[in-house]
Amino acid sequence: MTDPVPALLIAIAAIFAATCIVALRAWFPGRLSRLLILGVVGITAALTLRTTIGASAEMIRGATADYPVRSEDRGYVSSDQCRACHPREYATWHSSYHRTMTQRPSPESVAGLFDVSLSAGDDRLDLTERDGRFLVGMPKPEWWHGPSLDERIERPVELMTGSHHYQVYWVSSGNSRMLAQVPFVFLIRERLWFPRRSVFMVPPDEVLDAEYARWNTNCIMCHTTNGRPRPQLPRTDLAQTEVGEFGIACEACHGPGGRHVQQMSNPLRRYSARLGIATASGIVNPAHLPAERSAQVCGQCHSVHELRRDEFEHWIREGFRFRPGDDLNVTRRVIVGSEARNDAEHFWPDGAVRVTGREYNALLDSPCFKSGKFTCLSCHEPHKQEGDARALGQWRVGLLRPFEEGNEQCQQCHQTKTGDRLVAHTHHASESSGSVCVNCHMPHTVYGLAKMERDHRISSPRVRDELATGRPNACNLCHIERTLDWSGRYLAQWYEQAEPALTADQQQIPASLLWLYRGDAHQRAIAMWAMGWPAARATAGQEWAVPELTRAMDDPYQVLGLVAWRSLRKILGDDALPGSILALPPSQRVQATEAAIGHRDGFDPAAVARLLSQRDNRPVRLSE
Amino acid sequence: MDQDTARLTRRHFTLGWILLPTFMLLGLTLETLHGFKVQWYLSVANETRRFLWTLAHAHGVLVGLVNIAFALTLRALGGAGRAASIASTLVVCGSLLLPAGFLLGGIVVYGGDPGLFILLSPVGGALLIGGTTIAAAHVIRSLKVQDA
Repeated sequence: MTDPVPALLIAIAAIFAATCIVALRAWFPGRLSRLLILGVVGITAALTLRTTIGASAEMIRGATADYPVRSEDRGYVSSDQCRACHPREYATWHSSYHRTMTQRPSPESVAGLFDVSLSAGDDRLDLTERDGRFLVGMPKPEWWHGPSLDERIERPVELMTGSHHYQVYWVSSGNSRMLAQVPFVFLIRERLWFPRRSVFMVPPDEVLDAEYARWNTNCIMCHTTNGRPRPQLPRTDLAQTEVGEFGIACEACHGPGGRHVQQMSNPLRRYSARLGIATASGIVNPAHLPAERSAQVCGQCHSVHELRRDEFEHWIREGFRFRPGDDLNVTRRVIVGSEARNDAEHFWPDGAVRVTGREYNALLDSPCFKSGKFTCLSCHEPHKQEGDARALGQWRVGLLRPFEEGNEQCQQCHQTKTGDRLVAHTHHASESSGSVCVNCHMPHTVYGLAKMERDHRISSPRVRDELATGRPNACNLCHIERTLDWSGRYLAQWYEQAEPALTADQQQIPASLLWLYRGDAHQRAIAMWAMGWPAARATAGQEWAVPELTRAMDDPYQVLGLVAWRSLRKILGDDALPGSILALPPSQRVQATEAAIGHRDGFDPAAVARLLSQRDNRPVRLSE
Repeated sequence: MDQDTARLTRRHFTLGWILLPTFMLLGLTLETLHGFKVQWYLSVANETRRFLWTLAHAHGVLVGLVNIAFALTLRALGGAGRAASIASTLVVCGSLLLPAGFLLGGIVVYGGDPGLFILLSPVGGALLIGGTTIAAAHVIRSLKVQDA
C-alpha cells in the first residue's frame, strides 16, 4: 500500500499557499504583494522539499543499514495500524513481553548497565553509552572483516532479545545485516551481567561458538513478526534481513492486516462488524478458530518443530507461508512420538517436553486437548480483559486469564472437582497447595531461563513414570523432604496405583536429594529450584535445604550455580548472598557462600559422597 | 431593530448562554473524572470515550460563544432579513447537534469507534458551516451597503 501521507502534506501545503496568495493579493499593494507571495511560495517549496528529502533519506538509511530493518511486505502493515480501532487490545499487547521480545536499543529499552568493563577469561569487553548509542568494545572477533588499526574493535548494539528475565545484546557485525551476540547476558531482576555460558544449560566442557548470525537465522523466526533472513546466497555469511516488526506483534497471531485495514477503512463496513450485522473480514481471531487451529497459532512458535523443506526455502527468502488459521502441519513437522523420545535436547525419554517455550508439543499429548475443545486460550489471554482487577505486571507474567493459580481454569470442564469432592480427590485440605490442580497435573519439570516452568502435558503423578524417565514426580516436588517410597505408597493407597519396586536409597533418602546428588543436570536444576519454591518450602520447611543448596553452588554446570543461588536468596533473603559469588569459578563458590552465610551441617557427608559417585554425568544440553 | 431581528438576537443570546455553562460544567465533570481516576473514563479501553467527551466539551463551549457572537452581530447590523433567518436556523441546529453527537457518541463506544450518535456531529458541523457561511456573506454584504 502506498503511503498517502506525503501526498496529503503536499496537498495541504498547496492549499495553504493558495490561500495566502489570495489573501495577500487582496490586502497588500502591488510590489509588496508580489514579494510576500514569492516568500510564501519559497517557504512552502522549501518545506515540501525537506519532507520529500527526509523521506528519501530514511529510505536510503534503511537500504544501507548494517542491521535488520523493518519493512512491511505481503500484506503486513504493523501494529501502528491497529491502534486507532483497537486501543485496548493495542495497549495490553504494548505492555506485554511479547512486544518487547526484540527491541531496538534506546535508554528506555536497554535494561543492562552500560559504562562497565566485563572480563571473560583473558578477554575484556568495554560497554559504553555514548551519544545515545550503546557500544561494545571487544577483542577483534573472527567475524570482523572491516578495518581496524589495533586488536580491538567497537561495535554498536543494534538489537536486544528479552525484557523480562534476561536481556541478550546483538551488535552489528559490519557484514551486511548479520548480527553477532555479545558474550554477556544481563539478568534483569538481579541487575547483573553474566557470561552466556552461565545462563544456558550447556555441558561444562562444550566450546560455545561466537553466535555470529544466530539472530538472523534463528531468533528471527519467533522473536519478530514476518521476519525474513534473506541470505545473499550463495554466501551464507551475508544477509539483507528484514522484519515486519521487531517483537511479536498483532499480525503474528492475527495474520497480515493489510486487507482488513483496507476494508475496515470504510465506516459502513466497520459499523456493520461492530454491530454484529456482518463479520469483520480480512483478519483472523484465534479465539474464533476451532481449538486445534487456535492452538496452532501459538504453536507456530511455542513448539519443537522442523520446517518442511519447501517452507524453509520460502522462509529464508520471503518469510513464512504459515498464516494464523492455516493448518500448521502443512508447512511444519511438529516433533512428536518416537522422534520426540529420541530428542534429549527438548524432551524427556517418554516424549514429555523438558524445555520452556514448547508448550504446543505438550498440549498435543494432553487428554484435555484431545477432547477437542481445550486450547491455549482456555487458560491464557494475550489481551488483558476489561474489568480484570489485576495489575498489568501480574497479568503479563503468564498471560493467564484471571484464574491465577486457583482451580477455576480446570473447573471450566471438571465442574465436580470443588469443595468436598475436591478434597476427596486430592486428599489435601481444600486451601492447601496440594489441592491446586496444576501442582499435581502440571508440575514444574520444564527447564528454561535458569528456573522451572510447568509441564503443559496435563498428566497425573506416578512414581513409576519417574523411574522410567527420570522426570521428578509432582508429589515430591512439593514434599521434597519425603522419599519416592513415601509418594509411591500414598499414590497406591489413594489412586490404586501399583506400588513400584524401589532401591534402598529410593526408600530411605528424600527424592530431592537423590535428584540433587545423583541426578543429571536437569534433575539437579529441578531439585535446586524446588528447594526455593514457596509451596515446597511451606510444605517441607526450608532451613534444611540451605546446606544442600550451598553444596550445589559448585555444580560444574555454571547455570546451576545460578539456580542454587536464587533458591538460597529466596530462603535467606536477597541481601544474604551477593551476586559477586557467581562471578567466581564453580570450585570457589561453596567457600564464598559459606563465608557469607556461615557453615551449616547438612545431609550425611558420606552418603552425599556415595551419591555423587553415582551421579549421572551424561552431558545435558537443553535447547531453550 | 425590527421585531424579527430582536427575536433572533434573543434566541442566540439565550442558546449561547445556556450552552456556555452547560459545557463548562461538562468540562468540570471531566476534570473530576480525571481527579478520581474513574476507569470508565480513563482506562486505555475508553480512550475513544475520553476523546469524544473532550471534543463535546470543547465544541459545546465554542458554539456557545459562536451563538453569542451571532447575537451581537445581529444587534450591530440591525435589520436581519431572510438570509439571517436561514443562517440562524442552521446555526441553532448545528449548535445542538455537533456537541450532542460527541457527547452521546461517547456513551457507548466500540473500541476505537464511537457509538452511532456520532452521526449527529458531522450533520451538525455541516449545518454550522452552512449557517456561518451565510452569516459571513450577509455581514460582508451589509458592511459594503453601509460603506456605500
